[in-house]
Amino acid sequence: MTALNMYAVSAPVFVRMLNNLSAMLAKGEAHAKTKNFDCAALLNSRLAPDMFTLTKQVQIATDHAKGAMARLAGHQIEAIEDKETTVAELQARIKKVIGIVESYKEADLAGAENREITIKIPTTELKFDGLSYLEGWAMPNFYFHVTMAYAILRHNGVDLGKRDFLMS
Amino acid sequence: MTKFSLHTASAPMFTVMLNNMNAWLDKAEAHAKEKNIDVEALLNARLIADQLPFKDQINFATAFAKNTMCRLAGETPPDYPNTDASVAQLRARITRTLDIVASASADAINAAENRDITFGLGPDKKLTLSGQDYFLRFALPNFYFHATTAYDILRANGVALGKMDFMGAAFTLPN
Repeated sequence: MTALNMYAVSAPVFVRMLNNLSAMLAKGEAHAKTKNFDCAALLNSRLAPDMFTLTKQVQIATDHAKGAMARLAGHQIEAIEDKETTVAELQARIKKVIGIVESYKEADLAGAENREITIKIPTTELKFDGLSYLEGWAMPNFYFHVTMAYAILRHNGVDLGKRDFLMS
Repeated sequence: MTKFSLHTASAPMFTVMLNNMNAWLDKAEAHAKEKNIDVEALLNARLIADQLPFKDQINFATAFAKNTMCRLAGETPPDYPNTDASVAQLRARITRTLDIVASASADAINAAENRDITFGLGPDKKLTLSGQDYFLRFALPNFYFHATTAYDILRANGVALGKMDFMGAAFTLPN
């Protein structure tokens, strides 16, 4: 019997999906190699001119994962500069964030559902309790950017299916 | 005090995202009108040829929402086919799904944490997971996958959607 709690609905989900994201990027890299084009073309690709690139989608997804764990635990968020330009650098970032997420233990998130969390966005401040922050902000944002990364790769012909999104 | 439970971790999120989908349909219709195109073109759009079109992303997202809530509550999900094709049909489907989410018993769902849930994977495969694994490893990623894909198909086709349309009423999640 595993207890369902704030930790169970956050850390393992982030780790699993970040591993899937890593595997999807590896498929993108392999695709570029097979087709003999510079993988930077994939990393700089976007679905619409006013959307973020694949690189930025990975940066934001990882930010939501580490940001959620730190905020829920009441810790400082470890900053990672957005300077990756290669798949290898993005893989290193994902690996680093998996390590950060895994450094949290169940006890760190005890009572996190009631922790007051404030998010600053350009126009306003959003106030949440921990549960509504995780379910209404961090998790949908995280899934959004991981799915966007998938969609950009898929749109560019990388051989991905839902199975790659769900499990690696 | 917020009470954490399987129900509070699932029902409000589904409700917010399903309402968001209705708002995306509004924007798709407005876009079609403005550009003087048939909205069918958007409903049948996809990012790549071997992907399900927008309308089926909504069909599948709603199917995951109703199946999840019913199975967690220990009930057999109503079997409505994933074939809705018009804006009116998709709206009716979203409304029907919202009703199922709203009426699912919180107590029954909360009792599902460690209860085995057996469900079909395709036509002839079955899988059994605990309630929480079913929710976290299967239902939730599938739901977000299809919801986000629906959004990004519209977005790639020029519909005026932004991130806030995806987050929607995140700010009004019940405490």
